[in-house]
Amino acid sequence: MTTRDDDNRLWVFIARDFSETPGPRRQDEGDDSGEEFLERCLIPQFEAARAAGRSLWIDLDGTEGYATSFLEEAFGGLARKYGSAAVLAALQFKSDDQSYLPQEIRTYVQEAND
Amino acid sequence: MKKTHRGAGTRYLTRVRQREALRDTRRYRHRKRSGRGWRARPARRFTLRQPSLTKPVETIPAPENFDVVGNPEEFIATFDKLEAVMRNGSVPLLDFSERTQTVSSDAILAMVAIATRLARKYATVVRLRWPTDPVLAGAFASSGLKSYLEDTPPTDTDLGMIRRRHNKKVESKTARDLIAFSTRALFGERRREHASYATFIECMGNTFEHSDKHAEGQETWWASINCDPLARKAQCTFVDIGIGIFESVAFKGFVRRMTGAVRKLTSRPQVLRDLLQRKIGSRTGESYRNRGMPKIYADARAGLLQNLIIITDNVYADITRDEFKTMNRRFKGTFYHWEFTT
Repeated sequence: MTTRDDDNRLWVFIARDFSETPGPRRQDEGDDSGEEFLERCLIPQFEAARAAGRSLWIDLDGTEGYATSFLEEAFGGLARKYGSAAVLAALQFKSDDQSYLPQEIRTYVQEAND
Repeated sequence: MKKTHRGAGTRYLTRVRQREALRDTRRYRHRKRSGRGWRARPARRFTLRQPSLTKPVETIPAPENFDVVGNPEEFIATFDKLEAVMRNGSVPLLDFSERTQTVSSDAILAMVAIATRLARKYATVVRLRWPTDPVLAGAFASSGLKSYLEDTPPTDTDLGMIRRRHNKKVESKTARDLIAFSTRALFGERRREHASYATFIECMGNTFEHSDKHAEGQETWWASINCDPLARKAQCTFVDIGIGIFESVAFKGFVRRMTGAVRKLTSRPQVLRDLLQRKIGSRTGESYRNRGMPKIYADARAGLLQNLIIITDNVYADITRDEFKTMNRRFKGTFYHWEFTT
């Protein structure tokens, strides 16, 4: 479910909308995988944001943590589907708990199609 | 009614009987599918061999310093001896009452992992003689080993928690429970430990994907966390007794691609260092993969994981001190140990 804030920005809260315990890369590896997040949350919200001509804000806080494979599959997977440039232009991140995460995710997006 | 048969030995024998029953069922199905007809199975003799009753027992003294991180070669040598005893048809008795002075939580977890694997391989059991020294006995008691063996929740006096894989998947909830247990014990409240949580998930994922030669999701992993309230630190350990990093398909492919001269010059510690620094590509050829181990390395170098030790095969890597060395003994599998103190 996408949330709009007072500034009419579109948000996805991973801890609330998906899971507080993000798991591995693929669904067959375990629960709460990056693949599941991509298909169930990220793609629908990304398309909704694109249709509305807005940025999609991702709130990374409130979870136990993230394995690289989860983040790569989710955000790199989005870039493999829509292209790195489109994803980098559309996504914005908020991460107070782990301030280095947004930069890491941007790297995954940039290198997704290498 | 009081349950009288619930000890580790009974559980072991029950597992043997279940495995035999499953094997029979599969054989029956196979005969039926192959069109060879089937006959009623003869009445199965569930007379279980009770190895501890019929086999001779051989005592092996545990090392003075029972510790994987601090004394890896003697630890491995002890379990090599233990396996040799089992191979000869005897039941090993690992004796902690004689000369053992210190016991670490990482060694307890590695012992559980290796003993379980060997017991399965040789269809026998590993016996333990507990330490008589009250301090050492206390270390065992508070390590979470008792709760693990009895499959009960941790008690108030436990400073450690041991968990093994329950299914064939990565278990993010187990990682969360380990972190929650340790932060409650240390700080009196639940806190998040992002780097340790992520490392548990990466390790479980590596075991799932790489620790068996033939298929994914075959190997069991063990994870533990142990708290030291005085030092306000938690020690995390993760072990699998799979094929180890160097035997994994990724490395075999990498080594095959090297020319002969380069192959001879590249030592195993160097190969592990290259993997951790992401100088070796993914076995799938997808450049965007193979980020897990480098991330663990980067977190350790950044101080998010303290005193990270990786042992696989004959390589001992102290990541925090950036020391990679070759051991004289081989650890069959992969061992990770790190601490956090926040």
